[in-house]
Amino acid sequence: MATPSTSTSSTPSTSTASSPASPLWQRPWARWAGPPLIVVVLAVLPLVMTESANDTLARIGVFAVAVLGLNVVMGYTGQVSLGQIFFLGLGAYVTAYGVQSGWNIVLVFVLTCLIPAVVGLLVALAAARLGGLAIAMVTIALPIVGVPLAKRLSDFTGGSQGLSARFVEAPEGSGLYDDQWQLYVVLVIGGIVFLLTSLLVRGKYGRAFAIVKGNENVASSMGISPYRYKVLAFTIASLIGGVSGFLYMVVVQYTSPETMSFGHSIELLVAMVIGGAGSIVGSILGGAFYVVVPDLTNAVDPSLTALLQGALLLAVLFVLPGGLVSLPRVLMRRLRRSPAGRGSAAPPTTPSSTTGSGTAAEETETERQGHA
Amino acid sequence: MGKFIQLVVDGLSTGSVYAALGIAHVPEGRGTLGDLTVRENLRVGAYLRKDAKGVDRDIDYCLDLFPNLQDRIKSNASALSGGEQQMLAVARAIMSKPRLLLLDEASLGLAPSTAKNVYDAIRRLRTESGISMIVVEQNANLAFTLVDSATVLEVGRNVLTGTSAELKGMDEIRRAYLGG
Amino acid sequence: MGKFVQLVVDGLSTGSVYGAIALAIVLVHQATGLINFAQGGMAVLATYVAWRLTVNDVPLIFAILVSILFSFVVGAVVERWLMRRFERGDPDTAVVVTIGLLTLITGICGWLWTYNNQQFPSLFPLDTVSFLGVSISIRSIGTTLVIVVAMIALQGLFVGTKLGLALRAVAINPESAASSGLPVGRLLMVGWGLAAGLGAVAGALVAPQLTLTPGMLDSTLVYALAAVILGGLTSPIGVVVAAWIIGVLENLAAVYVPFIGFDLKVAVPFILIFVVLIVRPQGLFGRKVVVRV
Repeated sequence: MATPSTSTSSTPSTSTASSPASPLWQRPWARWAGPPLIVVVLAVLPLVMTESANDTLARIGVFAVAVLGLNVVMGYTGQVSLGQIFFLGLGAYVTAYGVQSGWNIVLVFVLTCLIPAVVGLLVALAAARLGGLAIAMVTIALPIVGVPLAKRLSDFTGGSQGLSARFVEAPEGSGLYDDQWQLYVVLVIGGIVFLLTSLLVRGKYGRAFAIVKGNENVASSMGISPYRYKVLAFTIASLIGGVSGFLYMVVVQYTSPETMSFGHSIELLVAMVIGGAGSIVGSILGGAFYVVVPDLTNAVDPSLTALLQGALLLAVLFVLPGGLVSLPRVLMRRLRRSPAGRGSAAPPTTPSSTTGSGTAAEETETERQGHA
Repeated sequence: MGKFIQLVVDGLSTGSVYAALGIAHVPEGRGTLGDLTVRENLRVGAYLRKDAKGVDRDIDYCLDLFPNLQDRIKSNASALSGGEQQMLAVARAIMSKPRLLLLDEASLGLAPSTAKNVYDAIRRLRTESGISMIVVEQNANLAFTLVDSATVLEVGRNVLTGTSAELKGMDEIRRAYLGG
Repeated sequence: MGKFVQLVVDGLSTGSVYGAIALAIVLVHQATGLINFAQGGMAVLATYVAWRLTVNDVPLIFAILVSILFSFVVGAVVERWLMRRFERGDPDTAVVVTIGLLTLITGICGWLWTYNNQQFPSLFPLDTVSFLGVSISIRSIGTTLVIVVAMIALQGLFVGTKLGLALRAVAINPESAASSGLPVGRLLMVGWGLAAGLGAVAGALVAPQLTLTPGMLDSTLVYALAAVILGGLTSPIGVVVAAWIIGVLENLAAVYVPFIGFDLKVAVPFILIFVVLIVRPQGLFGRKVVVRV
């Protein structure tokens, strides 16, 4: 084998400090002023927008939270889960039932966090033992079994009719309309969930998740039990899913078995990947995708929806694996590369590339080291 | 366009280049197909051949060359011992009737007596068939029983070249590799 | 007693359909290392092709044969142009790609042929035959037989032919196979094509009963995956047997276990999985995979 790799440095994964034009949102003043600015904008927005726009935004918020939950187990920890919508539905049912039974709203919220989390924990304890794609294969059962189960347990769920619950109305003296108040509720609760989750994934748990996602053998040799962290991730995802169910009831005020159908389950996964797996902002984009795209395609031609979603998902996976959230980064890398000419000359490593150094033309006596 | 002995090699995997050129490679680690039986492994070796009768004859020849394989003919390759798997790998390689046989660390992981058996069989093969061979081997003693000439590489650099007789006689070689 | 036998026979029939999809999934996994969540969807697409042909007065048998061929080609094309780059990479990414494929295929079927239920003609008469005083559905027997014959034929291909040997070699160690001159890429395409063809057979057999819609095999996929978990990814026989067990047990549970009933019988495979896996994590038939660190 000849020399060690002759390739020049491959492209750095993050923009280096030396690069002159760092993105707008990473500049120091942006970090300072950004969050308060966003808070102000979000506080004002509901007051100025139309009712239907507020409603759409609120729904986006609901599903952004749901997608965020899915991201915890799938984007960050690498376990494909087709069950997230089930936890949303479960949370919605718990909320609806609790409200209809006249329970304290705080109690309802707590239950809507706990019950899905416990169910998720049980499912994960069983499924994570299997390794491989077992969590995918088992979670697919959740919506498939969930729908007939919801129909069957009609005492709790109202059967096929579903349950209505309207419990978020603007307080008397605030002068706000219901839709505005609902949007605020979604923004506040959703915001807290996003904040807590982002702290989680940026801390040591997030690092552990990433290691488990990357290589389970490496994780266990480092003392990080893949099993434990998969269970943890799945439980958190279920909890967040439950919260998104609560928010769902706040906005939509009605739930039925259809809420957690297999089709919706897949749509949620598609939305997550397109928005950006393993990304906080990507979850918001995913929520937007989930809500906006069907609205658009249903206006044009409803039977086109699934086709479009499938095509977009495949397009993203092929061209933009990091999801829409990575689009700015990818575009800027492209723009930066072309004027600079050929940057890294690292030869593509095909699976069967031979290290054919010192090949053919040498005498047959020469020992050939470096075989495929 | 990259050419190697009149064959366009761009985009081809190493394996298919070897196969097209009549080179049989017995890799380090042997590459035996564990879930296939011994006989099936041999048949895979003969995949590109069209002469069914010739293939059957050659299977018999291989079993004669490596009697251990005869006993295990119906077993899955993964059930074979290290030495037997090495023999199977060599046998599979020659089933393709190659012009050139590449033997990569054939003694690796084998007990000395087993390695010697393997090399004895290969030496017999060489005498009877005249196939050209390139042998990569750390065990110089074994290698010298087989090859006419050798190149010694040290950290990838060609240090010495010569016939076996010449090299065996050299003090440096004796001290470094032959324990003398 | 008569009811019991009927349930068992019907269970074997539906179990055969699950088994066919499960076997296809195992085939694809052995060749390319990934789980194809679109296996059922691809079968549905082929069934739609057969249906369109019968609507145009093509004889049923002929339509089905054409659809099998069509499915073979689709399987090969999907492997070559869609899945190839994801094959030796992260299996979870590959699964998501197949989920995207499933969505796309469902969408294409829905867009071309609507989401309404379509009638698909039955290959077998809908009568029953009387055997030892029990009446048994001809369709159930026929379905089971056809699928069993298809599986035996596949097995014969794998064990008895040169092509089959090559397919197995490539599944075990593609690089080693390539060094013996095997055309690995083309063999992978054939493997996917065979799996897809088997799915088409299953789709055509079960469509009369389920009625043809784009999502017709979504539940079947779930059962098939359950059979794969129970039988183990390394054991084709195991998943087929597991599929039969699932088919029979769910029918029996639907009738004899009141809580479950017909609407919840889809929970049966998962109860089974839960129970079995506590005892034997590698499934009923799978091998324990030991990874040397």
